[in-house]
Amino acid sequence: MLPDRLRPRSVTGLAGVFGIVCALASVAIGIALYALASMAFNQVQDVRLAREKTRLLAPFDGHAPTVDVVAARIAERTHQRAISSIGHRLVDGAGVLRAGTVEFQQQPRQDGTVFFRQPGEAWEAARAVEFTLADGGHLSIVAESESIEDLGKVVWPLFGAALALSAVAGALASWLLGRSISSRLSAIGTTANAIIAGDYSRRVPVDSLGGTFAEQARTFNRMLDRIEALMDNLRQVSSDIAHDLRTPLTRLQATLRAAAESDLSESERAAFIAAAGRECDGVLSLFAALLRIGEVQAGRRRPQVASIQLDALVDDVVESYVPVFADSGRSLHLAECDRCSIRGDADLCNQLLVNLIENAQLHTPPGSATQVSLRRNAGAVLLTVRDNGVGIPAEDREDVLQRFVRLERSRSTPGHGLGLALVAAIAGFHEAIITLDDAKPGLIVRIEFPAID
Amino acid sequence: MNILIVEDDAGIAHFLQRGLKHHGLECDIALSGRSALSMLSTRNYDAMVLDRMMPNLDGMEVLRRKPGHVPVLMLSALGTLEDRIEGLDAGADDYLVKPFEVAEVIARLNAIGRRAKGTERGDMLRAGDLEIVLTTFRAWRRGKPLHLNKKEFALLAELMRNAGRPVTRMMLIEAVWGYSFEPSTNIIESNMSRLRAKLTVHGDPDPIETERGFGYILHVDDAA
Repeated sequence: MLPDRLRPRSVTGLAGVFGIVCALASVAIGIALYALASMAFNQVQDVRLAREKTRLLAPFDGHAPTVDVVAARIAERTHQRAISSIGHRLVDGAGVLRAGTVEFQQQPRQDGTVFFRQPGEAWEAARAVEFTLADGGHLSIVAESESIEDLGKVVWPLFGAALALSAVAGALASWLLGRSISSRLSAIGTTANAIIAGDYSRRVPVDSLGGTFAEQARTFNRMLDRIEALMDNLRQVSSDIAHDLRTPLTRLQATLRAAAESDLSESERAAFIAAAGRECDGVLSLFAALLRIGEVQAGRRRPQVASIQLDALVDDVVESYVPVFADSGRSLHLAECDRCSIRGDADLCNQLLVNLIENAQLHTPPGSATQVSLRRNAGAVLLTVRDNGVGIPAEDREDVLQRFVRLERSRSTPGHGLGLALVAAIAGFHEAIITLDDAKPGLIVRIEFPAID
Repeated sequence: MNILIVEDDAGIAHFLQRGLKHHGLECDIALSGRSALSMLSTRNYDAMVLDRMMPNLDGMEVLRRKPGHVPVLMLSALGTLEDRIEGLDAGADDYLVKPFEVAEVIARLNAIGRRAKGTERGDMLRAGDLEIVLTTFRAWRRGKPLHLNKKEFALLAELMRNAGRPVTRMMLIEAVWGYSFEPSTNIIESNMSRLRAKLTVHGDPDPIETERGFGYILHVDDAA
């Protein structure tokens, strides 16, 4: 890893680093290519040299050729080819030059590279072989390598140009890549800043071509949707609390002021204080209900979810409420109760049913009958609470599932107006569908849970 | 009973202390988790009222470090079921959400103090002339069988466990119904009146006394 100080921080820096990396890679490739090419070239030369040597040293009359024979062969070959890239030098045992014109800087080594020159020309590098004849003569053959030198002359400038080009192309490509990434990042940054500044409706633009960035943007936007929903929720709750607390707090204040009056009897004062206490209880139960709704909607109850036997639960709640209804001159009845299980939070399901049943008890006139039933249909569990009271007008049915909605005529009845809102929240938590309908007369509430068995 | 109140809010601590003393309970106050631990190491307490949210060493931490035998009633402003479960899992014997009434605290302290002493054994409960078998849901008064439904039976069992001492409405809701919320209708009264009717069907006196707006006591002293 690079030391921190050298790591690129900007797109330009990144492009620079990319350019350098590309250039270094090109240099390495160039050197490797050159080495391979010259090795291949040398091999070609060596093959030519070997062939020439075989020809010149072929046996003559069944004997190894003498200096004279070889000299004659050289002369013949030189005569045949006007231009040849093969040069010779043949010296007899006495050191007299017998054929060839090539001059060596030093005696060529076995299969090595030597420097040689033709008379009147400059020294050049070449591949060469040498051989000592049976009669003491010494033959050297050289394959002139003008071609590879020429190649080098052409290749190196080309290579330099390619190097510069690849460095520039690498830098450019990485700059473009960096710019496309940073423009996307800055789109997210702009959105985030707008949200920080209070515009919760802003979203990250989604790439129309799809792919990783689009997926990323969509996930980010889903997160923002959730945050916005929670924020709305919070705003709604805060204003509801402010609105709904003002009334009982005002009453509390008035009651306490009345209790503080000097010309009261002890019993009157005690009555005022008791009334103040009841107002406090009302405020506290309102808070408890709000917190409970918040808890359910925030999904904080997930850990308590398990498979629950809903028929046993319904039977238990109804059994507990039959005497309550009887005492208030109403009736409660469990019509059907099929065996069924759902995945859920038992405590919340208890509360859901308790709220529905209490709602029926509180908002129906004495003499009314309420009926609870639990039925298993294909893949679904249907819980129904039906009363024959006054019901809820069609236009209000959606509203009563919202927070704090209390129909005008029920203002005088006890309750904080959150009962059905909590039912709706609990149904939502269980992915159940809640519908309110006219029981002609009365209200019928249906809750359809997904079944698990 | 000797109680240690651990509460960083001095106002609440003294209010609670006055209330407990008024009911004849001895009590000391610790205003921080640290002083609570040092007081627990120097003196034996029968029970502890422990505030959950305190600076530095909080209630959960005190719960983990306290000597094992002291039963704990945890007090908290955090009322969600999750918080309650967390507190009970960490070793609290009971959990009460603020704001609370002193009488509620006392009733619960009595209950956990008795539970800690382990007076309940087996599945048979006896209180005065009442006798029940928890596993078979059978109950008798003066040897005569009582025909109780599940809720009436559970109510009686809870009163018998705390015989002679008040049981609050909230304690009954938790123990009998297992609800973490308080129903707004008089579910306890209605079921309790059915139970009382069945207990007195043979002309015996009603052993249950109502403490208005608060709870019930099962009296056993005048029984055989």
